Amino acid sequence: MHITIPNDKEIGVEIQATSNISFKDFSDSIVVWANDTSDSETAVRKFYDPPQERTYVMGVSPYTNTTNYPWDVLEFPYAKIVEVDHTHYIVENYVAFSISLAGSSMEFVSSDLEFGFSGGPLYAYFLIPAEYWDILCDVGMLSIYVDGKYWCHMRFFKFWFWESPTGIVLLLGIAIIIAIVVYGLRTRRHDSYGPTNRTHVIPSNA
Amino acid sequence: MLDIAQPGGGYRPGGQGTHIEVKNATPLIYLVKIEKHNQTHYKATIWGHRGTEYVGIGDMDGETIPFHGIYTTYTSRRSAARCT
Repeated sequence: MHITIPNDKEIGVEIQATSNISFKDFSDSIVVWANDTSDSETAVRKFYDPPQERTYVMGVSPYTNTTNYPWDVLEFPYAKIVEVDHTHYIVENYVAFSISLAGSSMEFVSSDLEFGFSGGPLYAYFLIPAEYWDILCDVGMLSIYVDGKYWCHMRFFKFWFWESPTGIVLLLGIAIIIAIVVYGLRTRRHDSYGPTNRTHVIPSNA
Repeated sequence: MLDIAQPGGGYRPGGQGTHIEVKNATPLIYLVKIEKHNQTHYKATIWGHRGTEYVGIGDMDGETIPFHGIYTTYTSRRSAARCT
């Protein structure tokens, strides 16, 4: 194993392993995980004979589920939404994504963050606790490149309750109810004073 | 961590406080644990290697550390494999 640490943010680990039994005798792939103290982790799975696969990035249930955005999204105060190539996912406790890479490399690039997988075809996975949502939102739009060519985008955002159609209807309903109640109270008060209470009293010596 | 995956396995999420699992992926080797030791070095603990090693930050040559061990495989026809 060869370890290099060029700087405080980058660690390189190169592994060369041999087995006295052919790996293919009992296995079809090898998986390398990396996790850190934030409880985030990623894995890369390499097949000895890569299957013919298409390239995709897909949320993993039950942590990151597809949703009919914006119609079925109703969380207070906001829902955690990930958009990947116009497919929307709602995040529960973890941002969990599965990647199938038919090409040789995939890179996720934004102005603040860059990560990727290379040596494909491969499968890759990553898992990030949702408590880092604000940080992910700050990343903004991630452009995804496959073999150096733009493939699609990925973005993390907060979808506030009052932005959703159902939320708007609910808030409008509440506003209308409040308006009706206030109008009713004012009308009742108006009626309770009666017309004589509003007549001017003219002094007798006038 | 390093895992030798059996055919047919796929991703599955774990429980709460989850971690990535690959079905039928065994044996599992906790290959290396790297921790910050001080301002200039990281500490590396490697499976099948006695003691700990220290890798300097900014040392572009890095450290080559041999590992060696035996793990038990999952099949009945193979009882053990050696990884060096």
